[in-house]
Amino acid sequence: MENKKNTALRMSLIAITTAIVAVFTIAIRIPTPLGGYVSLCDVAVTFVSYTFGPITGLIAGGLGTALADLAGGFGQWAPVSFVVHGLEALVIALIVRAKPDSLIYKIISAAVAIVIVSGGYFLLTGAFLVGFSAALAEIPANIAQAAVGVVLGLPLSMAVGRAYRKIDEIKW
Amino acid sequence: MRMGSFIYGKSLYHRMDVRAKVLFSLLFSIALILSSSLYAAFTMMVLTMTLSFYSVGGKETMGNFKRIGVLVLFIILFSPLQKREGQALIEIGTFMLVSVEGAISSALILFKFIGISLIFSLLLETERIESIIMALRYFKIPYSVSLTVSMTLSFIPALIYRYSEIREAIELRMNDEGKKDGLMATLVSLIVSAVKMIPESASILEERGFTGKSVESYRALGMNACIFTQILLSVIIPIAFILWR
Amino acid sequence: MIEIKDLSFNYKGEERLFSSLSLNIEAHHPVLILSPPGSGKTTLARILTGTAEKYYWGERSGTFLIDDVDLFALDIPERKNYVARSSQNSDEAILFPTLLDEIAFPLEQRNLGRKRIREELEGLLKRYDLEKYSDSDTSELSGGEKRRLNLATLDAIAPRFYIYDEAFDELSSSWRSKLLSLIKEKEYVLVLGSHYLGEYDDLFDSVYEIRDGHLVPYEPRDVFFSFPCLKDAEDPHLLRLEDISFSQRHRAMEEGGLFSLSVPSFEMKSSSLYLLTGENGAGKSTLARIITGIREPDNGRIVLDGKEIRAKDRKKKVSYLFQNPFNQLYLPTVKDELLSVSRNEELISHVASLFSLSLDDYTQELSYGKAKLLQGAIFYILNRPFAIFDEVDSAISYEDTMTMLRLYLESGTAVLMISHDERIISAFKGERYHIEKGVLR
Repeated sequence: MENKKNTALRMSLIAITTAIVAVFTIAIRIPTPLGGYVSLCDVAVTFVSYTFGPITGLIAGGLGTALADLAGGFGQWAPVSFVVHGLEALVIALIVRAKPDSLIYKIISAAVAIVIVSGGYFLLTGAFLVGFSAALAEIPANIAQAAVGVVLGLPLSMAVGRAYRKIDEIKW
Repeated sequence: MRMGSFIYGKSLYHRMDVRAKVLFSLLFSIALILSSSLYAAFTMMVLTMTLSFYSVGGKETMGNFKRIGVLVLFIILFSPLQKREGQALIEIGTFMLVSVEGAISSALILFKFIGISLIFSLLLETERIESIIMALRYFKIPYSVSLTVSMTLSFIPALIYRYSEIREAIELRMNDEGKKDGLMATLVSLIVSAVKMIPESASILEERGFTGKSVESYRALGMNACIFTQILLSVIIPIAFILWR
Repeated sequence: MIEIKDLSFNYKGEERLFSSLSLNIEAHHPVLILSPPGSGKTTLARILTGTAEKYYWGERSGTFLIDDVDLFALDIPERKNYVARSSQNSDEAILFPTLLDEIAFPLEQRNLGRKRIREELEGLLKRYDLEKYSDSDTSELSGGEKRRLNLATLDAIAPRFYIYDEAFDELSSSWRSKLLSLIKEKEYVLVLGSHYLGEYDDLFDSVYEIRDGHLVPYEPRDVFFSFPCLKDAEDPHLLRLEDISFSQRHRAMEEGGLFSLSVPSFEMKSSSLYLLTGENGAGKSTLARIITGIREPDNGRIVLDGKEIRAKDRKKKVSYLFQNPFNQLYLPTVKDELLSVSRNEELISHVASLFSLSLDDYTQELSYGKAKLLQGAIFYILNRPFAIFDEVDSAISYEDTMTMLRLYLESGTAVLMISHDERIISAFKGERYHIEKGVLR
């Protein structure tokens, strides 16, 4: 497959990965012991970043979560999600790319992701939406969600990579 | 599942040109964020509530409120605790619970939050997503970008449907493996099936004639004095609010 | 005149799919290629449009000319003025959120100008009876409507040479006739199919099939297959549905509005074979889902061996072979999939050979047909007392279908086959159920 400068392929790649992130955010949820739900959006962001690299990750992660917010009636969070998850994806992808076979780097990327997500949401929603006090109350939930996400994201990427070995050929 | 929250209506806000509306929503949100005057924020909030009430009705507006309900509660409960110097508003004995300053800053946050939430909801409720994309194209977003977003918007419901199908299919195959295995299996199957769509979608784009060059859309946005005025107002009104101290 | 000469093709790293395939198509003389599923028809269509090489890691040689224009020298978007194909799976062919966007896209690429585009759009909506959906999102359409959307979009490309890949499948019988009359008006047409349809009778002078990578004239062999002879089971299980009714508000329905299904009585007994037929959308899949327990009926009882059985338990008693086998597969190789249902390596090898599977094949690289066989193998090992084959015959050859049926029946399973294939229906031996106007007979 010729990947260089293939606009149609890039567009399809971005559209599908963005849709994957959005679908994981909107429709795929697992119940928590506390009675709420944790959306698997960070699982998808982690997966896309590991598998497709920083640029695709940035766009899919940011745009996917933003679109999910817009579709779900939480449009006011869209810009925040865009920045936070876009950054999360970018950073995860860059860290893992630095040493692809290292488990330690992956763990570091997971830890950084959790910080970016919970910290980012706190700072941005605090500054622009609900004020820092209210934003503080959301931190535990955000940490939990991000943690579930990055923990499941790695095994998922590995399982997908094993199940569909041609996946490496679909890249920029 | 229908993407977006579009609600059909004939209100003034519905009929407003989409470009003006997008500009207005954006600038209005910025005005709200930058606002430091309690009165200005309050007026803006009331403006959005009125707009919402007259455009999409009371029931829908209440629905929007319900969605942000928990956070509104958090703001009311926790924000005052941040600023507790100065004159007291509510005290228990000598212990100051809420200061005047605290109350004011909390109210400010509350009005801003409600205003921003409603203006965003309104945009999505009074405009179809395709129109919003058209507006973005008008504002010079590249053709391939707008096309990609369109494609994403069709893939999302398709993948959601596929997720429920696969989940049922896997559930019926699993014997006693446990929920986590079932979830992993479903996610792997879903992602593989989604990723396989990438070359197929790209093929179809090209087979239908896509070359990468921008083409004229069959939708027309047009321009006339009325629309120009709307756009002008959409810019002036938020700026006026920003300047109101 | 269309000349395809000495076409050879293989996917990278795989065996040759076509070798020296040649075909001439004359104007207004549509050609039909009938071949079992998995023989490469869709690949042929993709080779002609150019996407097989570019997007599917393919290697090809040979020539393809339309009126002496060398199409293989053209880019895919340039080629679309000459040749275009309809997709086999109409779900996956949808790119945009609204119906109008979808049909308008090829029109826009032709740079026709806004006025002309709108005229064409209206004409196409009318031609395929989609006017009432002009405001719809593509996600809301039913299978038949999506197929018509796909056909309208193909017409919007307006090539000279149309390739229809299994396009008749999801259509109702009236639409099949309509499509055939539309085909008569096109300049060059190639229709690809896997089962002969009665509707094909009047239209095609030339009918071919793919054998050993070549095109040979189609021999209407009296496709000989026979349904397995059934003997009564020793200790039969009996599953009964009594007075079941189910209804649902469902937009994605041709009649629009309420879907309802009523099942006065239905039963399945071990080692017995049953056939379920009905038009698209009648409720065959819904009934299957009720039987397996993923849908709850509004009323009625479901009884197993005299005792009422709950949905939760039904799920473990019924093997439901979903129409799309890939929905139920997720492990890397055939061996991994089989290992997930049994640790016994000897059993796995044995079953793999029964189902003509090779253990080292990668699941996601299997053809649709082989994936169907793998699905069959997995449930065969699970050996549940009841099984539902949902449109199995559309994925694999008649012989393979009979083999699978025989294996299941011999192991004591009660099998319900859902099919709309005319040959299967006329040759069927066993009890039949038919859904018409929401009622099971």
